[in-house]
Amino acid sequence: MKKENELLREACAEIAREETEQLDRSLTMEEIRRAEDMYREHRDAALRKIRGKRHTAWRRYLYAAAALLLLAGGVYLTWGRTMPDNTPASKPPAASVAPYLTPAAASPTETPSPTETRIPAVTETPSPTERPTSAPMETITPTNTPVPAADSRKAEGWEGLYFPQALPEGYALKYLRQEDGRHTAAWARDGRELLFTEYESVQPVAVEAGAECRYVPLPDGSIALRTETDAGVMLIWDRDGRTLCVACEKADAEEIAGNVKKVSAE
Amino acid sequence: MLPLVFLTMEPGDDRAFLEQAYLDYHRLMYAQALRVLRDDAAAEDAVSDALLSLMKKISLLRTFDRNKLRAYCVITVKHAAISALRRRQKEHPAAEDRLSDTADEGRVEDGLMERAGVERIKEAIRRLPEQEMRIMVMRYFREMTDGEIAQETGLQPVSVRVHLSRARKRLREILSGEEAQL
Repeated sequence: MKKENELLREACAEIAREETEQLDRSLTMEEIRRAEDMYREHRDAALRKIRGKRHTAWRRYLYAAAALLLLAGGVYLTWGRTMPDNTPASKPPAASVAPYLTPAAASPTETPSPTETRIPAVTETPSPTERPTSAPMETITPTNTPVPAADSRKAEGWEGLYFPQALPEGYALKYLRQEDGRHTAAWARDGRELLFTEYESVQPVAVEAGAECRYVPLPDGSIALRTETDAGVMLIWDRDGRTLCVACEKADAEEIAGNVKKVSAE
Repeated sequence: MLPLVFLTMEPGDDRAFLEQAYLDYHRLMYAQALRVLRDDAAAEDAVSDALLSLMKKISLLRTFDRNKLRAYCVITVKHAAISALRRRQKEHPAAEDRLSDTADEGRVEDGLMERAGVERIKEAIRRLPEQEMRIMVMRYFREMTDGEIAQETGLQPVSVRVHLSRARKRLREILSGEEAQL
């Protein structure tokens, strides 16, 4: 019976994983945009709900005092020495540290200029079995100026192998996202968004119903699938076992895709 | 002494964990809710409900790797959205099943499931009726109790047990039918 339950757990976990993978693969640009809009609108309320009420302070102090007394007694009985001032009981044990890096709500190491609107970067999170690091959260380097084409350049914190080397004027970097084999960079200008996504493996393409599709050559010899809707244009192509994607306004798409270059060694 | 030490910790560690999961997987969570409900306000409520459900399972979630955690968050939202859809459509909960139909939950120790293996069990679960499959996932993946499943589905707890019992019976029928063909 126990073995059966274990098998059922594994099977149900596989079903859940496959459904989630399928959802992720099949998301259209419109769905992604709508989900991100909802997230931006409701993020603060959701985080408030998660944070909830803090425990009453006196209760925590009571538990801390009891723990200290017990520790003092144990140390005295065992070693016959007085307890040092800085006791381990006053600090949470290492095993209790949350497995994730500093939450995105923590302040970044760079201070943004007052004219910029920033969204904290969402960092790549290790699995709970990995040892937590003390590395500072990856920071965004927002810019209002085009990325220079000369020399391979990328935004600080970008972990993908490829990155656009030049953008039309006026785009400001909003966020970088690295998750589950996918790296995304987002810029914004006049309320319109530009996305560059790099998948660490070749991916099937989800095309919006009614999109106009054709193949276009890129300067490096790649052939990209160009899909166009009222919302904008998406260019998708493969390079060295990775799928790259640029999604933005019509006028800019080919130019941006054309200057995507390799910026890191594998 | 250790439990006392843990009690001194801010439960904020759990909150930080859930916050990070929300930040990492928000896109899939909102997208899943929108796919089911097609309405922003209802989708936002579903994600909120899901976050509250996730808060109750933090100790379980901490044992998961990233893929499993991601799947758990998305499936929790999906189930919350389906529950909201059910309430919105004012579906009547399933008629109370006969208590005498509880029977066994596949307690026969014949090794059928062990011989079948995870892959075939997974395919057999996919062949179950939608509600039974969902309840199986709630029990065996989300590790929900009868009461929790009842609350989310609108069924009575005894009906949940009946559905689970039927689901396991159907699974065994499917698997033994396949085995006979081999």
